[in-house]
Amino acid sequence: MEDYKSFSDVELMTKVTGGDSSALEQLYDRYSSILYTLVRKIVIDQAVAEEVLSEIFITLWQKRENLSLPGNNVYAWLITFARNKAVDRKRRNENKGSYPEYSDDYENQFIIPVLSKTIEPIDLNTALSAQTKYEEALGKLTDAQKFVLYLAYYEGKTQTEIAGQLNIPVPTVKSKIQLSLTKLQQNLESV
Amino acid sequence: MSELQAKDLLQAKALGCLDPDEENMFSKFLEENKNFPWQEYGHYQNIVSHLPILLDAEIPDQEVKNKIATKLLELNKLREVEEAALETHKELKEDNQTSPEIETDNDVIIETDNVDSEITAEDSSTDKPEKKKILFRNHGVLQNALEDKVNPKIESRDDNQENEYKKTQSSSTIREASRKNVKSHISKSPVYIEPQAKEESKKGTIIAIILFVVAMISIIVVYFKLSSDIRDNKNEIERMKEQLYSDVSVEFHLTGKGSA
Repeated sequence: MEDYKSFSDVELMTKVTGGDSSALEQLYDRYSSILYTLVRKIVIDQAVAEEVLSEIFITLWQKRENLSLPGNNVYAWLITFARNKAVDRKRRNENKGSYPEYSDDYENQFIIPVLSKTIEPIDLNTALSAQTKYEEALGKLTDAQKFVLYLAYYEGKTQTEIAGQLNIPVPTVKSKIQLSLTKLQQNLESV
Repeated sequence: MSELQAKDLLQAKALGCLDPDEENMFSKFLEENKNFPWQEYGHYQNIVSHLPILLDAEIPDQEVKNKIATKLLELNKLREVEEAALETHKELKEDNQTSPEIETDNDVIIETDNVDSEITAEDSSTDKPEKKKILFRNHGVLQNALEDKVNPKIESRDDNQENEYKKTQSSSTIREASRKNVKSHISKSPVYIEPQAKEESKKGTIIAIILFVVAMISIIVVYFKLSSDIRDNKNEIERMKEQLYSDVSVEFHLTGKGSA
C-alpha cells in the first residue's frame, strides 16, 4: 500500500486528477485546517464554513480532469480557490437575490483561480515555515495599510466598496492597495 | 486596457478586490496580451496566499469529512448511472438505425431483452477501472465512507435509487424506442389495403343495408298493427259508453233519481 503521507502536494494532486480518492483524502487531511480557518474568517458562521469547505473538495474532485496547476503550486491554488469560494458565499448571503446564478461557467470564470504561468512552487510546509517572516513583514505596515488589506482579502470588498466604507476616493484606495502589497513585498525581502 | 493600467491593477487582482468591470477588462487583457508581467503577478499571488498562515488555526468537525465522502459516493454513482444510461440510449439508437423494418411488436420485445441483458451485465460488472479504485481500496475515512463503512443506510438507499433509476431509465428508453419504432412504421410504411379486406368491407355494407331494410319493415308493420288496435279499442270504448248511457236513462226512469 502506498504511503500517501509521504507524498508531496503535487504528487497528491496528480493522483487526484487521475481519480485516486485516497490522494484526495490525504489532501483533505493536510489542508482542511488552513482552508477551514481561512473560510471561517471570511464567512464567520461555522455551518456555512463547513459547507464551503465541503464544496471546495467536492468541486476539486468533480473538476479533477480539467484542472490546470501552473507552476505546480498546489498551496496557492487551494488557498485562492477557498478564498474565492468563501467570498462569493459571503457576498451572496449579503446581497440575496441580486447576485448572478452560480453556474458551472460562473465558477470557471470567477471562482477557479488562474495562477500565474510562472508562479514559484510552494507547498503547505514551506508556507507554514514562513509564518514568522510574514508576521514581521506585516507588522511593519501601517494600521491603514493593514486595514485595507483586511477589508479586501477577508471582508471580500471591492475597491469601490472599500472607498465607500472608508469614505475616501476610489483612486486613493487603489493606490493604498498597491502600496500595501508593494511594501509587504519589500518588507519580506528585508526580513 | 493598456499595459500600464493592467500593471497598476496587479496587486488588486492578486488580492481579489477588483470591481466587476475591471475584472472583466483584466481577464480580456490577460487573454489578448502576451507581454503581461506574469512573474510579478505570480509573486503577488504567492504573497497574498501566505496571509491565512497568520490566522489562529481552527480544525473542522470530523463530520465534514464524512459528508464529503458521502457526497462523493453519490456523485460517483450518479455519474456511472448516467454513463450507463447514455450508453444504453446510444445502442438503442444504433439498433433503430440498423433495423428499421422489423415489426413493431417484435421490435419492442427484442429491444427489451437487449436492454435487460445489458443492464444485468452492467450490474454484475460495474467494475469500471475508476469504481474499482474508489470502492475496493481499504483504508481511510473517505475510502471507508465510499465503501459504506460510515453510513450503511446511504449505500443501501443509493443502491435502491440506482436500481430504481436504472429501471426507469431502461423502461423509459424502451418506451421511447418502441414509440420511435411505431412512429417510424407509421411514417415510413405506405397506406395499403389488401383485396380480401376490400371484399369483406363490401359484404359488411350489404349486410348492414339488409338489416336496415328489415328493421324499417318491422317498424312499419308494428306501426300499422298498433294503429288498427288503437282504432278497435276506440270503437269498443264508444260502444260501451253508448250502452252505459242507455242503462242509466232506463234506471232513472225506473226509480225517479239521478245517479251520484
